[in-house]
Amino acid sequence: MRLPYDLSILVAQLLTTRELHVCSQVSRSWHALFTDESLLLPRIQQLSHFDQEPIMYYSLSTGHESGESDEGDHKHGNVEEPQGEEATSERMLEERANSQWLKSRRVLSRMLQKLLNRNRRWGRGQPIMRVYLPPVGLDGTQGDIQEEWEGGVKSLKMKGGIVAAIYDKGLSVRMWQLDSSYDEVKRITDCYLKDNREALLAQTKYGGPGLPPFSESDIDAMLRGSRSDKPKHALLTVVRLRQAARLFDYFITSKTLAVVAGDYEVDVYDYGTKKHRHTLRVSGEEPIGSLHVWLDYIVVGHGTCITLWNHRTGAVLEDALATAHNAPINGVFVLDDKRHFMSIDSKGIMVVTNREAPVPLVDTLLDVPLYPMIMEGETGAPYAMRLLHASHLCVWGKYAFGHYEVYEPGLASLPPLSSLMLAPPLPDEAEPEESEGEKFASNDPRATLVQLEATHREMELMYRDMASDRDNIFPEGRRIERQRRNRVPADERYHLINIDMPFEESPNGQVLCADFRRALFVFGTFVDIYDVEKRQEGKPKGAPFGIFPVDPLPGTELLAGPPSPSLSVAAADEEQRMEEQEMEDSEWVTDPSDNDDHSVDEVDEVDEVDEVGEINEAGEADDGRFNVRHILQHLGFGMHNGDPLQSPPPIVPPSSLNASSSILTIETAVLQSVFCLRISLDAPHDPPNESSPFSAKHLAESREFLGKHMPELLAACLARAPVDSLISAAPYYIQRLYESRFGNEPVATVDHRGERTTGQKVASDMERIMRAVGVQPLWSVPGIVSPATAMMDFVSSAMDDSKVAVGCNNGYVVITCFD
Amino acid sequence: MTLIKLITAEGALIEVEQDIIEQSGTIRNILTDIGLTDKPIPLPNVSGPILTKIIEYCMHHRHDTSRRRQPPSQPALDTESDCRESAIEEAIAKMDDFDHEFCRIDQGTLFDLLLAANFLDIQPLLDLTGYTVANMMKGKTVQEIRDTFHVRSDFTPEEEEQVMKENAWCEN
Repeated sequence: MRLPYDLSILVAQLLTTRELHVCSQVSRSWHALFTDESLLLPRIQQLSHFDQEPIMYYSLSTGHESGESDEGDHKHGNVEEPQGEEATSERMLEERANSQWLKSRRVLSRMLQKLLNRNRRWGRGQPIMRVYLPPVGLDGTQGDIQEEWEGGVKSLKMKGGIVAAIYDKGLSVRMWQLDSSYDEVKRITDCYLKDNREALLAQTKYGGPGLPPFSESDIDAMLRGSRSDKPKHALLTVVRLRQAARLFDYFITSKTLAVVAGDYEVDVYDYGTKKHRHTLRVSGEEPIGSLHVWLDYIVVGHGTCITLWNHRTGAVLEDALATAHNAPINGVFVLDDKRHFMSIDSKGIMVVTNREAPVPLVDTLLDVPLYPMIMEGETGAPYAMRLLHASHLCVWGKYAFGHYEVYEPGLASLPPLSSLMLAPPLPDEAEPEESEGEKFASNDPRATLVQLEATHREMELMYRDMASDRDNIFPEGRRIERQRRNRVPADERYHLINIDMPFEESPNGQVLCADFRRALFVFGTFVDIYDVEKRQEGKPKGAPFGIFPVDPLPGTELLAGPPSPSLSVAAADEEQRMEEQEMEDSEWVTDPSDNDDHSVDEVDEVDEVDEVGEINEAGEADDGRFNVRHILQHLGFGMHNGDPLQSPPPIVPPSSLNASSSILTIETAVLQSVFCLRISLDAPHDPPNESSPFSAKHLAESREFLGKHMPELLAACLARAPVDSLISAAPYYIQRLYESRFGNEPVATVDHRGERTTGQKVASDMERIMRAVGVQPLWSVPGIVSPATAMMDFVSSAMDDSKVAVGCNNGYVVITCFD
Repeated sequence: MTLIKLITAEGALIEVEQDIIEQSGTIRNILTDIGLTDKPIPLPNVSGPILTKIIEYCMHHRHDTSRRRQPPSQPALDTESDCRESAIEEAIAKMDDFDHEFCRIDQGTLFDLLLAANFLDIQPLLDLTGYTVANMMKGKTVQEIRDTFHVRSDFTPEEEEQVMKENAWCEN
């Protein structure tokens, strides 16, 4: 383009990122223009909280994290200490050095590529890789495994590319560094900082002396480390604990690991050397309920109090600081450099506690509409929270979540609210004009604050109504009403603004984890990714994905196998016959398998599965044949959420499925196909009072589809495996097919050595561990679901910007990668 | 009615009503600084035909204050393009028939208009011409863009492969 640079940029800003990509391939000069930092950097910043990138993380001394509770992400800030300013300055220098990476066009492009693809994969529930990390070493003997085994995963955390878990016995912490190449990036950044310290110190937000770029070899090293599609060896560190732990947290830069041992003690370890450093003890009688490590500090919530230590020196900085909580604290972290803590209790009450306040009670209460947080019991408690970028607060309970922006005291910190909605969720009976929330039109901070205050007054009126309504059941209502009369000047209070949604209950499933872009819900064996930014009222939008598509047929000792050739022949014959007869869609089908030429092996299998079938629920006859009525009942159920649907889903012909089908559609079609086959097997001829919704054509299509994509499931189905077992096994096959997009290659399965492997091999390892430790699951079905796979219920979870980690009953930690 | 005298790049004198040409931030600032003057204001970066086109645009929108807005500052989101696409669509929706016809010009004139709108600080015209140029790139393949803008690829095959490899931002 014969336009000056600034106008070219102006035009380019009007293009989507994909269009920029196309333009960058036009010529050399276009490439230089359309990969310009001024174009790409804003895209990156918008697409992600960028410094959650492990690469960037390792160049920073602060951390981001994710886990089940008492979570906190801190980018800025400090806690009072003599070395505080110096530490802040060092961090600032590191951040400046770190930002130099982005001056490289190649790094910028790679980051953008990762983010764009990650977002697309997240949105479609299409991971790129799944890593299985065992609870014990697999190279040892059976005795070694028995010695090392500590049970299922109890708690799991992930931050900065390190996944850490404790197990039921709590005797050790296993920490996997998912990509050791980041150490190299950290080393390079440190060298850069050392070589350019003066220039980095002289930088201001308006610029400064020129800084040299990283060398091409440095950038090569950085890019090698960022290739997330290449499996990497997860380096394992096992820290043996002095006492059994029930809570833990860690901070990467200082390699500090803190665990809560017993009710009142915190053991501090250096996980680099695996040495125990200190034991810290809280005063009082209340057990520790939450723990957080940040920089040199360890903060714990015990009862309604907070205790803060410097873990390097062991100094007690706050000893059982009183808070406004009336219920035990579930999560706590250091909020800022002005000596504030933020905490949440088991009733969902959020509190900011000022360490310097003379009376750290009502006056330090967070200036926030708390209505959503007072739900409890079945609706969500206990609550967990994460603070991202020290500005975005994600709070979730068992069935609900919300997202907020947090602003520091003072008018200057308030954001431009011209497009910001304050939309506190109101009860259904609220007046219509209130339910829309209030839009801030003013750019004047003081006017905005007045408006904010007015809105809060309205909220208080609402609280009063609620409190009176709920006093008998929820005594906290009155307390909230009292505490809401906040006497602290507005300039000294925190502002918390509900940014994009009401804190609402999830219609189905339980919240696993959330950040301000996504929330993860679990439905049985599925995890749903909800795209927070695309949510509509009452209709969260997101993609479901199963988390454990491990081959449920490991080893050779189990039954079943691929269907015999005669099956496919029979299916083809059947299809032809059906076409000839031109049967109506609604017509009942006859059992094509009656005349199937089953092999002897298959007959044996049927007999064995029938034996299993005898122990199944009442709907199944002793001979393994299934009551059609019982099968049909399943049609009215959505396997995905386990709840009865209001109406059975429409029949989905298997032939209509393709690579773009949603997992729910595939699930519906597969289940219907299974049911169709079972009905044709068990009630082949004219059940007098029940009608099948399936046509003969559907039957033929079902056979063909299952035979092509899920031969194991077809074999089990034809062998008359119990229907409930088929339903239990189906998600694995559905997921495998969905993730592979009907291709031959499922999502890459990677073992703890960083090597690509097969689901069958992973499942065999699981079997070996289970056998060695003598653990048997409550259920399993030979030939369909192996014992180890049946124990893959997940009990703990964590997420970062590109990965979901889940800890399972069988001790495995499964990392699903999206970038 | 005050007439403002402008001198084009070719030295031609063009007179235009003050309220029309004050849609230009540049002219408005000049008049604010020096006050109303009979002296012609030189516009060395704007040719006569382009200035005539600009005056035509300003005359059409002389009473339309809603168009005197700030340009959008947020870059396009790729998740996709929803926000930006809608912003562009909104801007396009605001265009009237005149605007559509106004932009039916050859590429050289369009670029000159864009440059002049930038120099004269006429934000709505800058938006309009910017959107028009951007739209010439939207939805096109690499080769189509080369054809549209008469650009020849100067990548070596190795460079082209490298660009494709390193900048394969989005998977299909």
